[in-house]
Amino acid sequence: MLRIIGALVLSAAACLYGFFISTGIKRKIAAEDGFLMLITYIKIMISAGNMPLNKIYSSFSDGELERNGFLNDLRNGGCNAFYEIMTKKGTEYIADREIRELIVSFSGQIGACPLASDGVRLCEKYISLVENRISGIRENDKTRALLSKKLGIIAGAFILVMFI
Amino acid sequence: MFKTAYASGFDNILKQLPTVICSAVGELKKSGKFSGLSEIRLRAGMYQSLTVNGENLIISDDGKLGKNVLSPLILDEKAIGDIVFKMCSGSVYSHAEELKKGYISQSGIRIGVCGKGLVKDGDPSGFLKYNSLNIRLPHHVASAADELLRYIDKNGIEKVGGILVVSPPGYGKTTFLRALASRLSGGFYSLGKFMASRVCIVDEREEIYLPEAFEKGFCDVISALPKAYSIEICTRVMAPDYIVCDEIGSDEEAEAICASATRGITFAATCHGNGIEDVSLKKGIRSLFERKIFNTVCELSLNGREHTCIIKNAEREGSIRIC
Amino acid sequence: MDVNTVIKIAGVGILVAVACQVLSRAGRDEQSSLVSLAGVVVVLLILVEKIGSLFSAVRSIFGL
Repeated sequence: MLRIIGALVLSAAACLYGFFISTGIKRKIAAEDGFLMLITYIKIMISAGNMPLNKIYSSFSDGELERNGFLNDLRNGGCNAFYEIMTKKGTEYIADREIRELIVSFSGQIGACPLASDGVRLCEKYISLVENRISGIRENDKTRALLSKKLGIIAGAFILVMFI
Repeated sequence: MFKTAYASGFDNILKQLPTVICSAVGELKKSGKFSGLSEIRLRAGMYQSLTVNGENLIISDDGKLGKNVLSPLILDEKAIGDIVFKMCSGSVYSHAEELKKGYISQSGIRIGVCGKGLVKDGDPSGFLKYNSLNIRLPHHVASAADELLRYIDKNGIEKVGGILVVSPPGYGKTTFLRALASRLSGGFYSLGKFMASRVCIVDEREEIYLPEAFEKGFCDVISALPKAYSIEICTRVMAPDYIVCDEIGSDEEAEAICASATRGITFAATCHGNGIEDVSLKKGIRSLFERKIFNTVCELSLNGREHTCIIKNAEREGSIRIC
Repeated sequence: MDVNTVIKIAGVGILVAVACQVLSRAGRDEQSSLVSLAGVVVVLLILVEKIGSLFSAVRSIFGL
């Protein structure tokens, strides 16, 4: 009896672990898209009305970035919030090192642009850099997410078979 | 002689400056001379100073003040750049229009900027590097225009007509104008009768309006737009009794003023100059005198710390002599 | 040779087949072959006792 319960628990654990990894990767993908969307939004708002960054941050919203608390930190930070958050807690929000470095470098320069046209150009440059990087790793990430889920289920079934 | 009240935005600005400077201002408060503070001046690679009652007090690197200081506080270009960044709330580009005119406006306080400029397509477009900052603190001196207001009470507002305030720079024209506008919109006496007018302030460089000066009154403010254009808009849509503007002198402004005056709007304005004769040398101003737009001229002068105001009225003295 | 063992071996066989399919479709061919190898090892481990007794039976029958 105990054996059956133990096997069920272990098997469920294996499945859930697979799901957990898969969700983690999906969130990573959503966060990368969210940051790309943020830079695009900043570019649109600067070119449309020279909007200052703090107003841009308070009017921007993205599902994943709200959920993981990044936008909350951004809105409550000081005048250099974006750069400070990325340098202190960047690893929490972006897993991929190259994308993180790009965002750090972007956040350090966007506030200091003297003219709106400079700001727009900076946004365009970083949008293309980030998009390039994302297209390099996106396929791989999607496969990994799918695989983790499936292998988790298989591992769970395996444990069940072995112990019952 | 003057009562003073301070802009609440000043505390916001202080928070963005290095702590040494805040302690220097604290020192000034302790010594009771805070009411004389008119400017905080920061310079890259040179002295940082406070202008108190017209004198320069150097800030030392431990937050003390003095005329001669052993170890003066020196800020480098990067520190000044960081301060500008904070003043722009982290978005320098959103103040690009103001920087083109050489200043940043925050919480009603004007911060003059100096440095290495940037020219794009032949037009000045802000700064590449920032070397100096001049944080000018506006003082609302509610009683600055009391002499003129007594004059209005005695002679009646109709006789007074348009008012031109003339003086060299730094003599308190804007303070005078602010006090005048505050009383015109908040309530004043004319021939013993209490009245208030609808006032429109054309505040191109955001220097005139202060919240505490205009809390109670019928006042509309249009800022950051060229004066001639603003005067035209106000005339058309705001229907004021008075339009108040600072530092007029150009031909377009004179044109706009004439056009408005024909609609029955009275003007209160300031002009740089040593006196009526000096100011009449400008073509625009002369044309305004000729068309009797300004009936009353106030010449401000400064003897040490004493401000005096000489009022000349066209109708009392015959037409204002133009040379 | 009880039913349980047969079911276990069958289960492992099915799961290994599914896993290999999933992995090779995802492009991870090396990992697919690793899984099939692991499957064979697991089945052998399940049967190691039985194989041992098989060899003893053969030895005793042929008197070696």
